[in-house]
Amino acid sequence: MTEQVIVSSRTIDILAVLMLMTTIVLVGTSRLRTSIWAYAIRSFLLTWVSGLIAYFSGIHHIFIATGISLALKVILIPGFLFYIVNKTKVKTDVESVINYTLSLLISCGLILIAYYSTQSIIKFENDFMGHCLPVSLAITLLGFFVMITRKKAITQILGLLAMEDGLFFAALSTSYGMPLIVELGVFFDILVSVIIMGIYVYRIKETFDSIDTDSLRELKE
Amino acid sequence: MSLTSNIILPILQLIVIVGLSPLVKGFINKIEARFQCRRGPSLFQPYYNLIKLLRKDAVVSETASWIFRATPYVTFVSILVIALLVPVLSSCVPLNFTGDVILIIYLFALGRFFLALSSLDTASAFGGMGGSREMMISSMAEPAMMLSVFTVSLTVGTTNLGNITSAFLNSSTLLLNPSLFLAFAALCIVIIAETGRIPIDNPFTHLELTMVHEGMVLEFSGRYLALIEWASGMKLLILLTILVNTFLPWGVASGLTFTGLIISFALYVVKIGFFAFLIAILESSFAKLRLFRIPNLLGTAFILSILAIISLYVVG
Amino acid sequence: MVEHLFIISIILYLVGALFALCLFKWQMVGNYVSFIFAAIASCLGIATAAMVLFNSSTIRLDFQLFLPVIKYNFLLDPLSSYFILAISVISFVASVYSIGYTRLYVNKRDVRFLGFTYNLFLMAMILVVSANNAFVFMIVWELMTLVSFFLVIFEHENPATRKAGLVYIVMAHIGSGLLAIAFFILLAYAGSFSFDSFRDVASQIPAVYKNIVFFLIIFGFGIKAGIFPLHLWLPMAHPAAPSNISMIMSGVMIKTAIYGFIRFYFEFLTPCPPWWGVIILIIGATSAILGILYALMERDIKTLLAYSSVENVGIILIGIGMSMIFKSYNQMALSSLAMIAGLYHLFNHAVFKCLLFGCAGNIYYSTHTKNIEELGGLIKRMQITAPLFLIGALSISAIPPLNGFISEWFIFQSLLNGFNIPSVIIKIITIICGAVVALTGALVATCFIKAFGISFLAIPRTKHAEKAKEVPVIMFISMGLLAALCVFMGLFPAKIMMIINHVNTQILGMNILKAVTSYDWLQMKIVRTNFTELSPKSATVFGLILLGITLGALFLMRPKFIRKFYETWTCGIAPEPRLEYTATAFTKPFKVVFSNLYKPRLEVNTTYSVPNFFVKSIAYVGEITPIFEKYLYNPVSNFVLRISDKARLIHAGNIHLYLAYIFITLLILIMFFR
Repeated sequence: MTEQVIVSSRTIDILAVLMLMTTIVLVGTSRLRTSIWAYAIRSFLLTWVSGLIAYFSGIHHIFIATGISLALKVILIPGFLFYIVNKTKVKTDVESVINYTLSLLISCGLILIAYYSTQSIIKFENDFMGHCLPVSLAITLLGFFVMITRKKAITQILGLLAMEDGLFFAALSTSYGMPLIVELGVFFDILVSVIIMGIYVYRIKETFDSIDTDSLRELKE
Repeated sequence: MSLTSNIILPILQLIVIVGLSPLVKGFINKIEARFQCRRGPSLFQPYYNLIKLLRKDAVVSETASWIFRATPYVTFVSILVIALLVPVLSSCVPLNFTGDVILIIYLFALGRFFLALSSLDTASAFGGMGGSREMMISSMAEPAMMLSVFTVSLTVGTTNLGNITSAFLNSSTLLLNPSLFLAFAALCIVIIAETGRIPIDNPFTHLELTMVHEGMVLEFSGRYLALIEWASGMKLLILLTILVNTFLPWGVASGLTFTGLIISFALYVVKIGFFAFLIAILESSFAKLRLFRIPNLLGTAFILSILAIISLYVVG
Repeated sequence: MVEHLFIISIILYLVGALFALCLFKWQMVGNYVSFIFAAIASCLGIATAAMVLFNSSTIRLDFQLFLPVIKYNFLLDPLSSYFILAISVISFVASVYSIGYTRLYVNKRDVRFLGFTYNLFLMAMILVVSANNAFVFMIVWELMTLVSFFLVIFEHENPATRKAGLVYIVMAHIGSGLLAIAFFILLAYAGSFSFDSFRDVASQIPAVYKNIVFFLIIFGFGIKAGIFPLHLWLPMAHPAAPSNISMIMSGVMIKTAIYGFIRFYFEFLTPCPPWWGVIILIIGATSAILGILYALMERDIKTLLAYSSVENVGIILIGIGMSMIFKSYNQMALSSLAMIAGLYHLFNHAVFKCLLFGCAGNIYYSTHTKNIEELGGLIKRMQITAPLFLIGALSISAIPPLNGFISEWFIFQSLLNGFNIPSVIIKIITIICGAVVALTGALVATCFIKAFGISFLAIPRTKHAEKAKEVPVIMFISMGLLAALCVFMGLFPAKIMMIINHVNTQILGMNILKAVTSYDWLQMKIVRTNFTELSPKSATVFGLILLGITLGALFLMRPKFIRKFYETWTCGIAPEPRLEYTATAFTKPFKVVFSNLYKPRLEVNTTYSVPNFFVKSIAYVGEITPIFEKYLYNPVSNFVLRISDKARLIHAGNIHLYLAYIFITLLILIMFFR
């Protein structure tokens, strides 16, 4: 590998690790606003990575995906989420089913699993962008974990978004992205689902005066 | 290493650490005052405070024992020894042969041990409270600190700070490692916790229920207080120096030439100033965390550090 | 020469034991004589061990007594000599200490019995580490257990002590049973009880049986060592025994189990697979962290020290586990390094734990309480015990330049070297263990700040503490020796490593003394690993120079510095003991942080003199749930009790029925072996 390739691969690795750190912030923070900021920053990093990959690989459709991702994930969705938070005036503290120390430990374990299970593939790939696959798996797992343990609907949206980011990043780093049409579809899905869930959150708030998903149990009777 | 360098370098290093540490405090205070739209005290206010305190007699509690009177000296001297173990201006460290970063961590523990004891010595409840909380925070910070140090040591293959710095100076791609980024992030949190800055602890408070470090040193006065304040200032500077000279070693002199040292000193001041500025921003924009939220933050640091070392092992 | 010394020391122990029994008329004299004999015998033990270690020789002693079939084989090799050295040093100190401490019991209790069992106990420990025959080993192992049981229940009128003794004897016998099974499995392949034959067949035993023996040994010796979760007896029995006995039990008796581990894993069961080492490592890390977490919550100073022994055994096992891992990957130099870490910590722990138990004994001697919440202000009343305890506390907290730091440093260095292991998963485990050791180190410091700060500093909390007086001179002379040893072993690690190196040369066949020691430019001997070097002596010298400069500068700045003494400001009222921070309060933050483990229970009862308005008293009860007892031991013991209830049905008490049982058994046996 030439010097330039090493540097670029290391740079992408570092960005990947920074993305993972923002996801850890999502698990570790108790504030809704911080978690939305974390999402915005992660999306920005992701866009950066995809821009870099597009530049190095010279595949044009990644540029398009990068642009859409910049508009959608960095600006539109965080903006919309902030709008919902302001509108529903939710208490900014995030509530979790299990306590923080434990959830931090569990997320530590999840990251461990991600790194350990992708280890054989990384060695096969000859260390080039070695962090990308484990990090994307870890982000997906952490997103899932957040969805399971958090009570507030907005945090659950954030968990879903983290999962999507992880998958997008995995596709990007291993096979230079999915076909453009698929990516566009995914973006559209995400946008729609966020909007729908946002409205949904607003409705829950109106009905139950709280966005705690626990209160949805009352719908059973 | 010649004999002159063995004598000049330690003295130079002590002068830099001992001399600059109040200035760092003054600088942070000044910036924070600016953020609060105040003019703030002079940059040199911490020096005036120290001189004033050193000129005074001390009042000691009747219930206190010799532990209380020994504590300031033990704390101060243990920090002075650490100052000789850390690369400041040059990557050759005066006491490189006497110990490594593990010794540094445990020398910090020596000072803390005596401070916590003396907090119990005066029979005041505030002291005990401060000591107990300080021990809790530092215990929680310890694993993260050790693991991030391990990460750096394993990338280079040595636990000697001087050798780490020179290794990073020699090879720039060595530093471009994601694991080191994680270790850096973890170490930043740990340093904030160890030096008792916001959001872990408020260094300006004298309100009983919120204080940690200040509660511990509440009963000290005069010369004793001066020594302890100075030691805590030096601790901040030393930890920042470790951070700066490990992760951003550019400009650190590898030999002992005069020009090299001058350049190194200038860059050192700039780098330390930058981090002090960051601390000031952080302190101005955050509130102090609730006491039992602190383990969460330190837990995050721990995860970052363990991640750092695992990614180092798995990816390389 | 050496063998004569060894035999003489054993005989002296026996004579001391007999004297204690014979001189029953003069308790005081009998007492002195027996402890003096023990002290002389342990001096001879030190000499024996030193001679074997420095000559790197191996000495065999074979006797044939009583029964013609069984040979009594003993072997003095560097490994056993290292343990004899540790045992003898501690026994010497404890014997001198006992001369003073047993005054507490003279004319109140049967001191003769104490002297008798004490001498036998020391002798049994020496024989355990020198036995070269499974049969002899089991006999002396049982003797050690039995005699220490009698020592534990010395204050038998206390029901808690009796319970502790019962738990100890039951658990110890379960352990011995498991050991016996392990020995029988080895016997099946070796064909004789001799350890030499075990060594010879080491490579011929099938893997399955080796694994079985491995687990039997973990449980068998683990109970004695007090590893989690087999530690239950340790925090009960050690505090129940008189302090001079706790010194020996905590200081060296639990180390005989470590001896067993090393003997088995490095000699009888080689070559061992890597996962054995990993299991030992994990057990070590778990014991370390859980031991210290429970010690942290403890208010009884001797129980606190006992839990801390669990932690230290964990740290020793971390060293030994790393050594096993490296050995199975054939990295002998690193294996030796880890072994140095483990064995160094073993000796260190013996020294400082003995010192701390001695100080706890001093506290008990002069205040008659072990609860640190009832103490306080002892530093002004016991002016020599206080600095001794402080040295012990500093070295157990691994604070440089005392000895605990050196072994902690070696443990970290060997864990760091875990990156040489090929398997990623083991690498990750070693590094998590590193984090655990770091956390443990910090918690130990907190724990001993609590122990020292609450009991020695500030104002006395009760009358007991207020009336405390310094103990007889002979008690702290012996402990001064230990404190000096703490400092010596901290400043001159290369000397101790020279001794451990002999052990390494024997069991690992690797001499790494050249690699781990060298001279720095001050011509001081330093220790080094492939990562770095450490010279505690030079660091201390520089520290003292800097202290001198600081003091000088301060003196120049203000030559007439004076201190004024006033009472502590406590918001306008006179300082009272009630206002002080308590041990419970000091560790409260940890109770909150680790509430998942402790599961604290809190009860506040308020009584009113006028309902809802004037509070008369508030009772606060806070305790932690002992989860291992509750979820592991209680179900097992309940199950056993239920089974034995059922079994009682066949005990009808009718003699004819019992005869019938025998008859039926006989018939079955005849049928079976026809």
